[in-house]
Amino acid sequence: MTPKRYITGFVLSLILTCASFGIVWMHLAREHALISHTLLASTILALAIVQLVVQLVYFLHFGRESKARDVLSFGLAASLIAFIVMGSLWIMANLQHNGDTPYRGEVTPQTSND
Amino acid sequence: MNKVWHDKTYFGFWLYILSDCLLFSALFATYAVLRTATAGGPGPEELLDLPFVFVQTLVLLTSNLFMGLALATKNKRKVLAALAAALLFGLIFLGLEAREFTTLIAEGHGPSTSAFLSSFFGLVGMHGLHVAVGSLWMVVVMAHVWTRPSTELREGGSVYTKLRLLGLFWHFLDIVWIFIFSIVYLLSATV
Repeated sequence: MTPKRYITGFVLSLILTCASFGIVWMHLAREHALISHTLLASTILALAIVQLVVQLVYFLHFGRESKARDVLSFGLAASLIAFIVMGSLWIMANLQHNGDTPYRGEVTPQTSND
Repeated sequence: MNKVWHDKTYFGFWLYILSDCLLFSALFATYAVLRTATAGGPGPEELLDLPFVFVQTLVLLTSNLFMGLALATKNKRKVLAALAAALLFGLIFLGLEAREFTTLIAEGHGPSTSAFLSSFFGLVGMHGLHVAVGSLWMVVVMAHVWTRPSTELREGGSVYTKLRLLGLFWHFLDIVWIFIFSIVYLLSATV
């Protein structure tokens, strides 16, 4: 691998990092009025994923020349990560929601044996 | 024979990196769930310092560039110089992180203050621990490059493989950091 490849990856990562921070700083400077929160959050996440791909390709040389086992194991890990993260957020948001809702069932008086 | 050994070793280490990703994903999920659990104390938007993290990000990225340059050459001197630069920037990164942590703790925002801070110190601290271990490993690999004949730097040589595994680990830490600065710092600053 040539040094040029690493320098390209470095410059691309630099641009993407500056874009992420820049957009947040502009948003904060306008007192959260630049764009909607959802749009901002998706932009930051999208920029992070693009930078992940840039670093995978330019630093780790992940790509067409990679062996099938490398790509397959990467895919497995990526899906496991998605399950862990999405699953946790989903379940915990549900629990939170249920915890906030008042109990609607019948309250059975507690029986004690003492 | 050497090529096969290199490929097998590399693949094994790749699997380790992927399982380490799972460890980090659990810590990320914990952080995402507990981010708002501040126990009445200040949240991430008040505690975290974005310009400071921006500098940290640039330092770690520069360290990664030097690691790449170390992998791109077969010249012993150049490899050592690039590794030394990568190590230096890695240590600066750790110094900055130590400063951030000590400032937070000194101001009474230690990991035991709230669930949010526990998950913050857990995730960012785990990354820092990896960088610290990686730095130590880098010193060891530098000693290998220094003492072994430069022919071992050729493809399939023992130093060649060691260098590549270290590079994989170091680049992986930068990828984890992309998600730390995006999710822990940038997203939390804009709630």
